[in-house]
Amino acid sequence: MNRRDLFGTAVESLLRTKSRSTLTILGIVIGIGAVILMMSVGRGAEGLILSQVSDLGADLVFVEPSSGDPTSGPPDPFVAQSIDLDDEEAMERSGIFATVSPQLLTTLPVTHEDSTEFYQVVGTDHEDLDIFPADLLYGRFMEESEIDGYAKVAVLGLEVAQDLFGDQDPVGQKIKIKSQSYRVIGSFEELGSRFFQNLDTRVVIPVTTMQRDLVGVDHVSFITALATGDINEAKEELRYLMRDSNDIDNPEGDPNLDNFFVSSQEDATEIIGVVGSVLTILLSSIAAISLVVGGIGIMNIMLVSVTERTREIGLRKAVGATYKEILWQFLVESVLLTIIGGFMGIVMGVLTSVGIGLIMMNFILSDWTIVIPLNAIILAAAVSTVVGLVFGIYPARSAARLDPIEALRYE
Amino acid sequence: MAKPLIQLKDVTRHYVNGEVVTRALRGVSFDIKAGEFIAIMGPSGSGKSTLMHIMGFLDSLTNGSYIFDGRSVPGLSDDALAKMRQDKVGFVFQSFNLLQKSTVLNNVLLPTVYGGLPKAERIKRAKRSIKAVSLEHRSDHYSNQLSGGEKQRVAIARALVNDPTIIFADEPTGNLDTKTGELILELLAELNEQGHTIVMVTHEEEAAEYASRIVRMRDGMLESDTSNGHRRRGGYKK
Repeated sequence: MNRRDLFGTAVESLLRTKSRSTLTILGIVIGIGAVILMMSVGRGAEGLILSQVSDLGADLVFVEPSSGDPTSGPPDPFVAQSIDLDDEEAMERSGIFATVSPQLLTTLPVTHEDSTEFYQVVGTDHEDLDIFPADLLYGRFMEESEIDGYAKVAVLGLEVAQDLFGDQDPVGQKIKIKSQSYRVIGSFEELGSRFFQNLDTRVVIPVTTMQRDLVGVDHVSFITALATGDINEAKEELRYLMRDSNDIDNPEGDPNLDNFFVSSQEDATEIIGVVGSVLTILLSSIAAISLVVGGIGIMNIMLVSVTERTREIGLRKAVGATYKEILWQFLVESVLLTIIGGFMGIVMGVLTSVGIGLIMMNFILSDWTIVIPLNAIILAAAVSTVVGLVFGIYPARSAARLDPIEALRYE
Repeated sequence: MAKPLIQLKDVTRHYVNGEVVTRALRGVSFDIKAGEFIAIMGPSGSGKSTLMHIMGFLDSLTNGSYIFDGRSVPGLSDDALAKMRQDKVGFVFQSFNLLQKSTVLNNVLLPTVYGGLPKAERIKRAKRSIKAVSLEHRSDHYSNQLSGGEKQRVAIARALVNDPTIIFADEPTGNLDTKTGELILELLAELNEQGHTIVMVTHEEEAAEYASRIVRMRDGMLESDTSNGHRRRGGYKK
């Protein structure tokens, strides 16, 4: 039996039971479509998370308070106060870093005229812009003298400026933070989000003023710095520096003895990458279940088909069909079903991925990106063929093994 | 004298089903020469169908020897038997066994699908076979649109398409009325006159009359083997 006959016979048999073939194909379409959709959503989510950190330089280092490994649980509230401006100064002096900048974050009421709203207030220094470049719409950023002099000045995020002053230039205006008066010296362009924090809804003031006058603390939330040399050496030296600065006796480098944690943008990217991959695998595995169900549907239908066509099989054997020829005839039928289903599933998966991506971009998360992973499509095509072979082999074997005499007598 | 086409010697066939052994054939020996038209008769359970299946390479024998056209059949592989069925024999069944929702032409083409001949040659042969049973005008009809007699003629055309050495007909008139049954028997006799060797299993005396030789079986053994000097042509009654 040549290939064209094999193919033609299979198509003919499938067309003889059109609605049944269509429903069987639908099972595969849903399975393959779901796998592609889930892989696309997984990759999209991964891309979204990565976009929050990927703009930052690879030489960026963070020091945050921590009781040992941050993955071991929430930080101890006392430990959360372990990093202060002395640490920042020690880092500046070390010469390992081009720029060092502290960050103290909290949410406070901000008042202008009669309206009061809560915004995130960020205490930092004049070097913040060197680490996180941002353009200003009006005015200027803070100067070193204002940090050292506990100046009561503020730079507003775009949404804050619009909330308080509309589209007007806010420079020179007065706002009240916790009923203390601050002078607006500038406002940012639209900055979007970083680490899932909306940069447009913050008020930036000198860290010194914030510590002494607004919050009444000595610590900062974390310190950011740009390393000059090798990032991993810088991280290691920073650990020694921090232990020295905080009088921690930890020659072995046991992270559980430290009250701080050093990480880099690269670490964050790596962790997010792992999370993203796990997410993608999880979603795809769930979708793969529907593919298996579709495969069982194929097997079921092929078994019914073998039973119904027992006499036909007997006849084919009587006129000279060999075991292999019958086996292939039924295998080609099941593989044809899954290949057609796989192709339609790819089309459906791509269309729904684009559709969901558009909904996400327009209504929920503007940073969402539509990702159609090519390997998902190749995988889907391969998997659908394999499903056809795997779930088709049992029915095909039972057809090929039929005894021609019994098959011919079958009622 | 020419060598017989089929030589059976002490052929037995036992079916084992659990503890029960059924002896369908208990030592059958006989020859078939090319050009004969043999009717195998006998009550049900006499082993006539088993004998035909063995001769047609659909079943294997338990003991004895079977030589077809100078070639020993027992011990042939399944694939070799399939090849013999394809090249050497044609089957006509009581219940026609046509593919439903398939045209007359496609039904007749079916055995050629496994032969590996070029498509044009296959169609040429199928058309020749259809002509031999006078169904040219029905070539494109679907098998379920045909009458019983026409269906059996399609089955005969299908049996002829690979130009077999021998045709086996298993109760070919069993599902037909007298009139159409007669036409089918006439057709078989005509094919025999053209040189085809035919073995027909039947339990109808009237049908057997068309054969040149009548073999009677009982309880898995030959009861009689007589040549039929006054072959009937026409006047078949049930």
